[in-house]
Amino acid sequence: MLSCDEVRRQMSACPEGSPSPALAEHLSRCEPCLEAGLDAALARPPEVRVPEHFQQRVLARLPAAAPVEMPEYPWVPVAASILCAIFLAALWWSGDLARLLALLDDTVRRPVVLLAIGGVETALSLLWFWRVWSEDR
Amino acid sequence: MEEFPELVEQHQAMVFRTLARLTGEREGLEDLAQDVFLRLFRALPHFRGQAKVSTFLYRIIVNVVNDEWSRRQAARCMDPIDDEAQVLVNPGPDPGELLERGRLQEALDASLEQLKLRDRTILTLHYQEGRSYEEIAKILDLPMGTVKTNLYRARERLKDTMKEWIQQCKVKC
Repeated sequence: MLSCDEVRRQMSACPEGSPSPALAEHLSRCEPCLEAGLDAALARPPEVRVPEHFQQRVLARLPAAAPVEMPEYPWVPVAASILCAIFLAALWWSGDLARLLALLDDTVRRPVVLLAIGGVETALSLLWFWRVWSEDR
Repeated sequence: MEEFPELVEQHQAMVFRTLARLTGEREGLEDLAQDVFLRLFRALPHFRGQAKVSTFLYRIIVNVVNDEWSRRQAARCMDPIDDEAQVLVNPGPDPGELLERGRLQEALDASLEQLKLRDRTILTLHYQEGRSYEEIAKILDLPMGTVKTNLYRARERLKDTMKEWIQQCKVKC
């Protein structure tokens, strides 16, 4: 008659061949030992080894440049928006906002200024496209 | 990125044994393992450490195996005699035959390979890798209840294999 401890020891040692009559008898009437035997079998990892120099081969396949890291938070646009809001609020408070808007209106209507704005926007768009394209590669 | 070589060193054994369990193969896992680490490398800048790297890696492994499974099924449809394509679709020998020869561990492995990939993954992560229900739910993006139910059902199927092994003795002895 096998004890539970002995059965679990045998089961954890990966039994080969058919179970002995005593082991089979115990397992067929002792559910906890059956469960423990199954746990031991499932926890046993498959026999597989890492090929030699695997790490070097992985590192050799990495893209030459590390991927571009995304900023953790868009601090620059957020800070610029806050500063802009403070500036506009100050102008409004001082009563100069209407005068400034009129001045801007006159300035923006000039073709040279419009062309300059268009040029800067085009350059920024091209820069953004280039960054996205180089990240994808 | 300086720490990437250490990450490979630290996790390579886990990646190989998990791939082995999920694919049912012991050889030719290197391409899949390399794919896992390349995906990790590409994803690292977006990894902000909310989860453990291992949890993140398990998710990548499952995706790589899923993609490989789809690729081989597609290859099998294109070319029904492609040997490589057959492996994941009809994996391993019959558990009953292995039990006949008294090979319990191999029979259990074969039964495991006959489970659905999702159930096999859940069993592997829980028993072989010692992951909690919560972690498995995160890795597979499943509700925890589903993880528990699938784990229980899959385990019951393997328990049947074990009972068959015990019955053998009663027949033979």
